[in-house]
Amino acid sequence: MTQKLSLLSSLLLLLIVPAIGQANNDVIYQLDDEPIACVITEVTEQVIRYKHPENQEGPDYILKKDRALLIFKENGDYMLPTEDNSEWVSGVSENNHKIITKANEVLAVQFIEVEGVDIKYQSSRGNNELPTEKVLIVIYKDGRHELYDSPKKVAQGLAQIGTQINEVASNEASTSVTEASNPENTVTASTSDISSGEAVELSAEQKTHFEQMAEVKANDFGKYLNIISDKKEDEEDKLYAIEGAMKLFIDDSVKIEVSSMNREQKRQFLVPEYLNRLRMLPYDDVKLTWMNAQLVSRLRPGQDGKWYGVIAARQLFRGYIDNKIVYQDVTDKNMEVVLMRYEVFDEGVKKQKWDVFLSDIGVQQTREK
Amino acid sequence: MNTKQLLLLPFLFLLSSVSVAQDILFPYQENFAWQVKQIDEFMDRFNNADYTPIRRYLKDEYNLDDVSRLDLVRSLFNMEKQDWDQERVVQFLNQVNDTVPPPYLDFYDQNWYAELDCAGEYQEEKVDFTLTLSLQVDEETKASRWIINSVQGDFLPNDSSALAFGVDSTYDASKTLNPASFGTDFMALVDALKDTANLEGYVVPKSINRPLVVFMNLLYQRDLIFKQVDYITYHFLQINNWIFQVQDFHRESTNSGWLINSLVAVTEDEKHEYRKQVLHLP
Repeated sequence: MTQKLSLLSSLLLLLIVPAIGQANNDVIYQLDDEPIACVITEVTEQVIRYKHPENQEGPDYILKKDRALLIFKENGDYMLPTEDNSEWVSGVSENNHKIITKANEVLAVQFIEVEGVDIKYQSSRGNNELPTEKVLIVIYKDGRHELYDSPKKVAQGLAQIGTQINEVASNEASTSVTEASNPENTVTASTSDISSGEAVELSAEQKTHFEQMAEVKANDFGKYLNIISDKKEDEEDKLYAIEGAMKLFIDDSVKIEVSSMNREQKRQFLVPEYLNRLRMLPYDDVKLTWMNAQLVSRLRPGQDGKWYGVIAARQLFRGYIDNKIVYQDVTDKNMEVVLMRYEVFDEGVKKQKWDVFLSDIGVQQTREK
Repeated sequence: MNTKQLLLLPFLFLLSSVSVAQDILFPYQENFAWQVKQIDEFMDRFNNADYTPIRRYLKDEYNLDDVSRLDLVRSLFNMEKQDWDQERVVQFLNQVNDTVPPPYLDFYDQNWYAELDCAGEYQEEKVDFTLTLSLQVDEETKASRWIINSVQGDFLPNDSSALAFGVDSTYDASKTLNPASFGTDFMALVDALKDTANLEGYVVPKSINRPLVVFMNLLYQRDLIFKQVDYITYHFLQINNWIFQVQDFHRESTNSGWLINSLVAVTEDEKHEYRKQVLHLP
């Protein structure tokens, strides 16, 4: 299966599969009883209060905490109620899905597809697969989750993993986990505010990690471009791909430069406009091949407190009308990547996180293929 | 043996492996791997740094670990140029390769400059002008930004007397050309030089010359609109006794991208003159 199909399948899987634990509800996995899909309103030391998801103005229902094995919130946070001092744990990274195995490994992956009894996934190390019998749970980056073992076993596994869920398993060390819960992996060289522009030091290891993450994002962008330009794709999927692609960029004001064999001047478009134009190109069919993007300029600190690098990629483009190629070119693209710190409120606590984003994309050269 | 053969020789053993091409994209991938895609990739390859895309590619594709610096520096010359002074090139290669300690290019050393041939619109007419930029570095943190040092154009005064430039202290100091701006051929200048409230962030006020003052004032008054960067030449003055220029060559070849296209042997005095006469630095 091509990477494009794999990506689409992954997107569709997230959209369509309505199995328990994946619907847009909180879920309480009970001891010796069926899971409860609900909206949790409060968890106290003794009880869990929740409402029926279709009657959220209605009464609170109450379940004794010791009757629950595992609570999963819609956003991917989970709690093990029977643990001492049980607290919400953030199970989600916004840049990757997590596969948690029965060997208590946490695999952070970019794309995922469940095919029969196998889970196929893609990380920065390439494509891999894992039989579902070795998997406890998958937590998708949008917060949904899927259990592959009994709730009891999953709860036991998550208890053993603890807060290390946000660390990357050793065999997937190059994948893109954004949050570093281990102090050794945390970027802490400065506590200054982002806007102060103070330079922040990164260790070589941290720098390499974010550089690899940037390459993964740049390659993801290529996959999205493939879907958006493909005339055979559904419009809904294309719009979903545009939404996904936009999340890779630092903001909506990023510009993408465009060149053509038929025009001397380069043009610049805002990213949303560029993606929409790509979606509506006047060809019967489009083949867009995005060769492996690679970091060619390592991250360097700017005077605004952010770090900047450059990724290069080569794009082969063919436009068809009546099954004939009417335009084709080879374009070398250079993407600025920006590593920046931002603040989020997690359960009311202000946290600083780092993430790498794509920024302006320039055209290096356009040639006839 | 001509220059091209001389320079290409060390790589023939690699290129012969092209016959094992796996698919129709292979030539593009091979050329893309060899292409010097960025100016700092040029510097890394010149230095034979551990981390370079070409080393990564040679390792992955050919299981080749050991590449000599001499071979890599050779590959950085424009081999399509017919009139290289071979004796001079060999002299340069020997100096780079044999000197102890070996000379390296340093991204943060300020003895290199970007010369940008640009297009704009002045009084509704297309105008061409040349900007010279350099990297301004905070020595302590290595945080850096690109700044405009000088400008030349037919519509600008040609004397280079220094003038005071009134800096509005309220400008947003975070609005800068970031250190990776070269990666997109400084396309950020299009928006940056429209941002008249923050023009000060793109120059060094204390060493500004008259053409640049006029240029900035035209931008400030919106009489001049910056349109695009057409062509870039990098000037390297970091290697003792040498100046070389690096330009971007667009072609489907293993010898493409940012390559040395001019090499001149100079004295230190001549370097000083070069800064004034060629780069128009204040």
